[in-house]
Parts: sequence; C-alpha cells; structure tokens
Amino acid sequence: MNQRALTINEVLWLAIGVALASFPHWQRLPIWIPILHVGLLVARIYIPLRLSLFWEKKKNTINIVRLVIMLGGVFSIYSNYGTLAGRDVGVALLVMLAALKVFESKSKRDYYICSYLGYFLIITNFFYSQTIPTAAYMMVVIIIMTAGLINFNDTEEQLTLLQRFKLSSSLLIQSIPILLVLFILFPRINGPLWGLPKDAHTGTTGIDDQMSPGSISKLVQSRDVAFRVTFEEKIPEQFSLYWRGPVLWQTDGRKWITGKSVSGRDPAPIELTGEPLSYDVTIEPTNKRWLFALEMVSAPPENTYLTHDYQLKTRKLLQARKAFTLTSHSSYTLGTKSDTDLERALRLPELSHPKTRELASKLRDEFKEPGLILDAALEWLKQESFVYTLQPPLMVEDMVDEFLFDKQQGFCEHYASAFTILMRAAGIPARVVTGYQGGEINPVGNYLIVRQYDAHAWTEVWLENKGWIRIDPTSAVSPTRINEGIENVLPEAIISIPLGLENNETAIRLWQRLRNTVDMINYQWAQWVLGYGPERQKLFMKKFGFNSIDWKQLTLTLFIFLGTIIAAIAAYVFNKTPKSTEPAKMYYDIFCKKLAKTGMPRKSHEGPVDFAERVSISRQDLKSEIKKITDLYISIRYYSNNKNLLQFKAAIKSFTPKKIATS
Amino acid sequence: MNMNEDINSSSANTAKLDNVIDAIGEIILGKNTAIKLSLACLIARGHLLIEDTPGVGKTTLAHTLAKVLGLNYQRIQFTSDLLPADILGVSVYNRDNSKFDFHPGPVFSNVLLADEINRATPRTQSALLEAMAEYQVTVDNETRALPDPFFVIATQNPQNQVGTYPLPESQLDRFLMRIELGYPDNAAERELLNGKDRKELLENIQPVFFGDELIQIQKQLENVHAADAILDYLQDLLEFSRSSGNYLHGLSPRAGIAILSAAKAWALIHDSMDAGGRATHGVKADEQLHVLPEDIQAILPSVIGHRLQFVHDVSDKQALQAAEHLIQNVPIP
Repeated sequence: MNQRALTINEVLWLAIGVALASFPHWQRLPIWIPILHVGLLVARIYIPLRLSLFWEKKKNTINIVRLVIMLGGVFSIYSNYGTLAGRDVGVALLVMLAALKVFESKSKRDYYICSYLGYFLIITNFFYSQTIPTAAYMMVVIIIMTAGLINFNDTEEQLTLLQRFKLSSSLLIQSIPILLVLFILFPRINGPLWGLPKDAHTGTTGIDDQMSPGSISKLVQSRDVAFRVTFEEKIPEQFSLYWRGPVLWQTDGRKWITGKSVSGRDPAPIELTGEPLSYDVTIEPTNKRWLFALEMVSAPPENTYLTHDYQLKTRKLLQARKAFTLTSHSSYTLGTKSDTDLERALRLPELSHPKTRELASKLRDEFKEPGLILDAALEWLKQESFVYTLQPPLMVEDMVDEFLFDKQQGFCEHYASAFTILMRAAGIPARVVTGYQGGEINPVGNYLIVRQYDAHAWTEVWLENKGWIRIDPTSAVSPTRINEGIENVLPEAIISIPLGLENNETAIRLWQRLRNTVDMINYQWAQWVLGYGPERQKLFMKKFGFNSIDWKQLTLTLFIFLGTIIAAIAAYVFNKTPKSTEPAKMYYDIFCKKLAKTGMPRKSHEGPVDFAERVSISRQDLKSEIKKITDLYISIRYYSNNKNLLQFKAAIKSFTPKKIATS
Repeated sequence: MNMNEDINSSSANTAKLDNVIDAIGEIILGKNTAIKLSLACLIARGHLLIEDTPGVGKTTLAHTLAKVLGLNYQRIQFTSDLLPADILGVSVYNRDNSKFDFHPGPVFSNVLLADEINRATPRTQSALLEAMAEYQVTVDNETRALPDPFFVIATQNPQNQVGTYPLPESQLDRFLMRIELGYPDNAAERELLNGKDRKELLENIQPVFFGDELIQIQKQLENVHAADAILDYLQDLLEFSRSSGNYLHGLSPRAGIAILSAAKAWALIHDSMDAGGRATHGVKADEQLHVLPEDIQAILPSVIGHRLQFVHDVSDKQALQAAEHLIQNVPIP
C-alpha cells in the first residue's frame, strides 16, 4: 500500500495545487524559474503516460537528470541573486525545488511531502503581501490542496468533486477557532522575526523631508491613503485637523529642507493646555520615519520620539502598515530651545527676493510690533487677488517675488514658502511645516481617511510671548480649503467617478458609499489583523482583565485555550459520530437518531423494514421519505451495493422530521 | 452473466411460489404464516415437524404440501408397535431367482409423512435418523440412496399427552423447523365449517410444481446473498445463546447453518410476493436477492424453538419463548 504508484489524477491535483500556491511569486522571480517550475510539473504529468517503460528502465539516467536540474537551478539562483540567503532567494529556491519534488514524486510519502511543501509555499506569499485579496486567494489554494489530499485518500471514489471541496472547506472552517486563539494569544514580539531587505519598500509616495514648488501639488494628484484615524470620541472640526509632518528650516529661495539643528535632539519646551484628545493612527508604509500627529502631540508612543521642533518620528522605517495610539492637545504654547534656533529661522538666501524684502521693511517700518506685522501681512494676502490653484503658472526667476507680486497664483506650498520668507524678511523667525490638513470622514466606519491629496504646508512664526504659532497663509486666500477640505475646492482633480456616471447623482453617492465600505474593511483589517502587535495584544488582554501579562503567561493561556478547544471539538465529534466502522450503518444511526428525537426510537433488535413500517403507520407524512432511505440502506448494507452510498448520505442529510404533538 | 441468466430462467418458478401458497391456503384456512414457514423449510431442504393438538390440521397441511409441490409421498401412521422395517422396507426371499429381493418401505419416496411420530417407540424413531441425516438407508448391510428431493414431514402431539415417547434431542435436531398451527381464527373457522369437506378438496387439488421445478428453486437458494452485516447479526445471535447463561445449551453450528438457509428460503418466498410487506426494497430485477434481519427474525422461532431451552431457574422468563427472548436481547449490528 505504501508503495503504490501515484495515479495521473493524483499527480494532476498535486501539480495544480503547487502551481497555484507559487503562482503569485512568478511575477517576482526571474522568468526562467516559473518556466522551469511549470515545465517540471507538466513533465511529471505527461512523461509517465507516454514513456512509463522508459521511465523504469532509465532510472539512473533520470536520477542524473534530476541532479543536474537541481544543481543547475541552485547555481543559477545563486548567480542571479548573488547570495543563497534572504527572502527572495529563499522563495526562488522553494518554488524551484517544490516543482522538482513533484517531478520526482512516486510514492505516497512523496505525495505528502509535496503537499506540505505546497502549504508552506502558500505561507511564503505573505512575505510580500498581506492584503485581504491575498489572504482570500491563499484560502482558496488551501482548499484546493486539501481537496487534493482528500482525493488521494478517497481511493474508492466515494465522494464527488463537489463533496471533496465541501469537505475541504469545512475542514478549513473548523480550524477557525484554533486560528483565532493562536492569533489572539500567540506572544507578539516587536518587529519582524527577520529583517526584510531595505529595497522591499520602494515606490511609496508621501511627504518628503524637502519641499520645492510642485512637490505637494504633485502629491495632491494621488488618491492613495496616507493614514486612517479613529477618534475615541467625536471627530474634531475639519479646520483644526493639522497633521504635523516634517518641519523645514532652510531655504535657497526655491527649495526647502530640514537642515541641521545645533541644539540637540530633545524636544523644545512645551506647555499643553485644554482637553487631551485620544486617537489611533494607522499609517500606510512610507519607507520613512515621520508619523503624522495632530498638533500638538503630548508624548511620543512606544518606539517613536519627538525631535526638537516637534516632529514625531519612528525609530524604524515605516515599511509596513502600523498603528499608533496618540494623544494631542489642541491648545499649546511651543517654546524654543535656544536663540540659535531662532536665528536659523531668520536666515534668507543672500541677495534674493528684493521685492519681498521691500514689502517686509515697509511693513516693519509701519507696524513695528511683530504681532501687528503678522496681521498686516495676512491682511495684505487677503486684499491682493491671490488665486488658489493646482496649476500655477511657471515661475522661473525669483520664485517668491514672482509669485507674490506678479503671478499671484499658487498652491499651499507657494503660500507657505512665500509667507515664511516674507516673515523672515520682516525679522520674525518663521519656518515651514508640512503634513496633511483635514481628511475625509468615512461614515460607514466613522473614522477619518487622510489621503495624499490632503497634503499641505503651512507656516509657523515665533512671537516672543506666544512661542511658535501656526499661521496658515492658504486659509487667508482660500478659507474653503481649510474649512471644508480640498475636495470642495478642487473637486475635478480629486474625485474619480467611473466613466459615464459623472452626471448621475445617485450613482455618485452609491459609488462613494461602496468606496467607503471597501476602505472601512481595509482599515479594520489593517487595524485588527495586520496591526495586532504587542501593544494591541496588551490592550486586548486588558479588556479581559489581564493587566500585565508577559509572554510566558500568554503562552500558558494559549495552551490552556487550545487544549480546551480541542477537547471540546473531540468530545463533540466522538459524541456525534456513532461508533460504527461501516458508513452505511453510521448514517442509518443518524437517521434513527433523528426519528428518535421525534419520539420514535428504533428498538435495538428492530430490523429496518419493521422499523420503517412501524414509523410509517403513525407518520404518514414521512412515509415516502422513510421508505426511500430504508430501501437505500438495505441495498447498501444487505446487498453490498455501495454505489448508492452518496445518495443515501444525501437523503439522510436532507431528512429533517418535525416533531408532531402526540395526543 | 451466467448467474443472471440462471435467475431469469428460474424467476418463473419463483413466481409459482405464490400459487403454491394460494393453493395450500385454500385448504388450510387462515394459516398463512405456517404455510410459508413450512414451504421455506422444504425449499431449504429441511425436514419439518408440525406439533400441535390433534385435529388442527397437521396431517392435512403435510398432505397438501406434498401434493401441491408435485411430489410422490408415503404416509406412515406411527404407533407404539411400529417397527423399523415398516419404514425402511424388508428383503424377502425370492424363490424364482433364489435371491433376497428388497421391498422398499415408505421411506423411498419424495415425502415421508410421519404421522404422530412421537407415538412410536424410540427404536423405530431412530430408524428414521439415518434417513433424515444421510439421505440414505442401510438395510441388510446394503446402503440405498433415497430419491431427491427427500423430506420428512412429521406431525406430533404435545409431549404431555398419553402414549407419547418424546423425541430424543439428537433427532429433534434433524428437523430444520418445528412449527405449530394453533386454532384457526373466527373467520377461518366459520369458513371451515361452511365449506366442503377437506378430504374431498385434498383429493381434487392439482399440483403446482412438476418435475424438478422444486429442485430448481432449491438451487436458487445459493443465489440469495447474505451480506456481512447479516452474518454479523447471525453470529451475534449464536454468541448470545452460548454466552449469556440464559439457556441450557447454546445453539450449535448446525443450528447456525439452519438459520441461514431458512432465512434465505424465507427471503426467496417473500421476494415472489408483492403484498408481503417487503415488496420492493429498491431491489431491481437485475439485483440479487438478499437476506434481511427481518428474515432471520421471522424464521428464528421455528428454527430454534426445539433447540433452545431456558435454564430452569429463570422462571420469570419462562413465559417468554426462548427464541423471542433471544431476538429481543441481541441488537441488530
């Protein structure tokens, strides 16, 4: 039995399962690996059919061929990647060798090994993608692989194809309780178990540590989600949602960069007043370290820190979706660490922006007081005919002068940049703060989605008695942008509606609702599945009264839970399944149990015909059904006609006698 | 394929079993079960013992069976002075050729009707023994085969009546079945009283089977399928009779074989009937016949009634027939 050869049908199942499990990897591998993979699988299916004799006779030759393929494959992978360690190489090796194993599989044992390889291949897909579609696809592959195993063991073909898939799916469903316990209780550690290569996360968009004209307006073209926020209480007003990102100090008149601070890394002194506001931020991978918090965050959460100018940064690059719990105060007084910092905030590129400097000195002469100068400058912005637009005209020479006095059309980055320079020229320390402003409320999940098009830039100025205060020159020009969000200012650029539905309002609303729902599902997935790290686990355990639980206790709890669940399932299964080795008898016992529940138990010595007759007398309504089942049972059990087993099983399953009131 | 042809050619004979039962039923009124049991006994090549009080129709049933099945039969009235030679036959000296000629006794027939078998002495009774078991008799050191088929249909009066010699257990074991007739029910009795004389009817009755038709049917028994589940059940019954401690002696392997062949015959009879309750259990024409637990239960009291006895101290169970007790205590696997 152990040595029985695999049938073509079984090999086909195996090949399909392994191919499907490795399929998502194909696009990421050098092209020859998928080709070799499929080639080996197909060869295993077809060669024995055509050349089975040849196969047996040339055993040694085949062995050498296999060895050559293996060594050649490993060498090629090595020369392709330059190493034999790491995620990509590991996957490449696994994909190639799994196919090779299928290629050489002959016995029952080989089949099982290949199946387990297939299951392992399924898991490796999560190295690359942890989205819901990936998980769903992997579930499907698991079902197919398991159905293959069922097929392999169902040598008498007692199940149809559909029933195999059904059984396989129900096995998967039955594993859910154990999955949940493992997921919730398995001790989490900080960071991944192994480092992923740095180049794994290129091509992500987001706010950068520098700003030049067009950099933010380019971001605004993107609908990508930057982060999502769940507030513990009410979502604050749109205009107060300033998500602080990189703070830019240094400019050459066109481009802004962070620059180097000389006053150390500790955050500047701050005085927080007012009610604290708690919220969870789930940030998409940016491959950078900024975390966007509402101004002004009170304390950095675990694994993050505050810079001297109150940028919240993570200790590691954000290479995966992560969730943080933050607390902010909307009223605060932000101090400075040293006069050097203030001096930095006054630096201007030499001999630049003559018109701006002229305006600045005019304002300074007229108003003297920094506070008054600031107000006058904002008033001036309002008075002039500035236009808020995504497509500003080209400004080549002196960008700030040209913008302020000539073109007067620009996006937030133009306003923030020009206004900061104006302030500096007027002798008021100022800096540019970039980040996001506003966000879109998802009514389905009641949380805030901040997208790349919410990117924004504003100014912070230093007033002697007030500290650093936020001044948003954009709001002076276009209050709608700040009060109602960017969608209301530049709708045509933002909201994408499927073609042909632009004029149908119901369709637009439906479309938005659908989008919101999909986003909500993604968000929950990110928050509760992907974001279930050590912090969340602790929080979750707290809800059940485990206030400080370490990994040892967690492991113990895990085993207790697992043991309980397995014992419960075992008890249920043993209780439910009648102790009979014969399937026909087993199902007949279920049938008798069903009738017993209606008050018609079968006596142990009562034959099936007698029993059917007795029940039929009092239950005319069930007569035909009982007769059908009894006939099938007799033909299987006493005539040994196993062909009818499926039909019999189906009949028993659909047999649901109702209890009738006995008089 | 061959088997299918066999079944098809002999299914006509199986259908005739209905006619047999009907024909007998016209003479023995209201005793359908007893008729079917006795027929099953003969199909299973077993000897039949009919036990009841005088006058309920034992002899009539035996006669009717023999006649309807188209068998030649001899009847012996057993009495206390009956000798073995009266049954087996004697060798008489023939002066013409100076040899002993064997004059075969009534045992050389298809059916031997042994009326009131327990009125003969044990010596005479045991003369039947060899005939019943071996289908041959030995007279004057010469063994002679009996015709095929050969049945003994014996009748006997209940043991407690005057002038009876109880059959020894070994001889009882030779009978496949022991059946009782009992009194007819009201309607049957009225019909009996209203109808013609039974003897006259018996003389006019026409055989249903001719030639080797009965043998054909007997051969069909081999085609009746006893599934593993049935053999399990049978073995459980035997095991319980031996190990439960309720019975004096457990059932012998021969009893087991007897039960199985009787059950097969019962299944065969029932298959030929449409109104027998069993009707069509999804059994199609091309499917083999099979034994059901109900078949075993139906014949069990008749087959083991004379083989199984309670041990004496279970007096509370005495009222219950041993066979019934056995059936109710062994679950169908």
